[in-house]
Amino acid sequence: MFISNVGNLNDIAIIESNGSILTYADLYKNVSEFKTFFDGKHLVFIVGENNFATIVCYLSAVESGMVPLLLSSMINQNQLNNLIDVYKPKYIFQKESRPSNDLNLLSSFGEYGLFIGSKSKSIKLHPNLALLLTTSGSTGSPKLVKLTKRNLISNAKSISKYLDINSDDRAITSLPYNYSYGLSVINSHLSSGGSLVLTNSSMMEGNFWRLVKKYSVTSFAGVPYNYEMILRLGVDKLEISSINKMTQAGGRLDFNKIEKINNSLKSKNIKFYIMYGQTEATARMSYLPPKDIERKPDSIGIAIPNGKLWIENKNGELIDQVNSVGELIYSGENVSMGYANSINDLELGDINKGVLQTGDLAKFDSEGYFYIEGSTNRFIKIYGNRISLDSLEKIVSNKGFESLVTGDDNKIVIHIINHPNLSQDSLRSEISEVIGINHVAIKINVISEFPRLDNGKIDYKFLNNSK
Amino acid sequence: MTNREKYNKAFIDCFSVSEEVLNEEFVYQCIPAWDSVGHMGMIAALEDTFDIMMDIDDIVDFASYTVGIEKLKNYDIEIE
Repeated sequence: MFISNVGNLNDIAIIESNGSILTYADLYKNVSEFKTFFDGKHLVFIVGENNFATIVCYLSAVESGMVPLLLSSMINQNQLNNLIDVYKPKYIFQKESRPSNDLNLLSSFGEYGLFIGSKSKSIKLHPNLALLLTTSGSTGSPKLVKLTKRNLISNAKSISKYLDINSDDRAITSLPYNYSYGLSVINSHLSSGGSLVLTNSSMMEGNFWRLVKKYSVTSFAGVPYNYEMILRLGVDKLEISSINKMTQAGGRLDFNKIEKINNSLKSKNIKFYIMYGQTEATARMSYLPPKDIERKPDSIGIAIPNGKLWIENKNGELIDQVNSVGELIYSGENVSMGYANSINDLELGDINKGVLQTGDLAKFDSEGYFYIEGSTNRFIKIYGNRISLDSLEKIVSNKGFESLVTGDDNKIVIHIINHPNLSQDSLRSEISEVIGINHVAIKINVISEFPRLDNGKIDYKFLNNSK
Repeated sequence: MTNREKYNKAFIDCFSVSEEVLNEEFVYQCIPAWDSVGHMGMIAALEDTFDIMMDIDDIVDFASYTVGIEKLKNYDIEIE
């Protein structure tokens, strides 16, 4: 399995935010006890957060061949109920304080309980299926990424290799465990004998920085907006003398900011890694070696160990010319089996066969370093979450409004045809809740009609510029 | 506008809430809008409103509506 068998049993594996310290021996013991609750091969919903009970449940489920779906404890009950209706899990691990009318409690773990779901049904799961992740943050969309054990092990190994993670490394959970990037931090550290400080505090809370200092955290992961916060707080004012590695993924950070952060980190002897990935590839696909960050701050770097990146044109033919833009394609053992949209999809085998069409447009330079130039589809990445603008239009239309949605990596604009029932504030909060994005990033632009091109198609260019 | 009105306006604008909820129970993460992203926006709004530059310790320990009033005293802003 992917939790370390190489490290010393007495080494620290996990430090909880309340100060409890657990060694690898403690972790193994807890995992093997938890495993006794699982039998057969079934779906497990884990509705958790960055704490010991959740991590033990996740590791036990994967170790015993269950198929866990990782969800945030912040998910709203309607969204959770929808997912339960679609996938009918046998087990649900959640806070005991959540509604559990139709559930039978199997065992308690602090404030959490493992329940047997009443809607559970014996379903066929593909033998290689080991883990399900949502495609973006905390949304209730039933679209899931199907991952195998090999995906998890391979990506954790590659990451540990290029980040040189070993038993001296200690990461803090700056991202949610159910987000592929956050999970990759957990997997790569526990598979290399390193340790984790578990917290749900954000960088905007003093408690986060007190934990970094108190437990001598050495590494730290963030999406672009985390680094914007760091810039706002002032890199030089942060007490981060124990940190020696910082990583950034989950969207594009403006390269001026990369340079600014890197300059400050360099004087503190902190290596700064820019990385690129998608949940569809477990987490990581590329990284920019820190030695190259000054020369190429706008590059996503090179493929991770044991992975391969290349560019194809619209006809699927290889582009081998420097600086020509095409679709970025990745191959590696971390490429997922595909998506699930329904319970029947959980039975299906691998459709990607190790090759992922990323949907991103990219080019490479004469040294083979890749650069993202755009996207082939209408996706944006905001606060680390990948959002489909098309599905957002559907969500708004299901509420009875005609809309077009545009956006970039900083904001979403919903262009909406004026309607007597339209309340901008309540629409904004509803959308914010459904997609799990703070409402400040959502703008509503009320218009009387949609701009169209001569051929009748929507003039997205005009919309993009209109607000 | 009084300082209290200015202080309240920053919360009302950033978090889309009504004035009645602004009391000692209005704390970080009590509503989805006051997450880390919302926090950064609210701090920026207060800095603009009062023309101050807040210190890191005051930003990260600005844990509630009431605590914020104490934090602003460090910049000679009295919310009466």
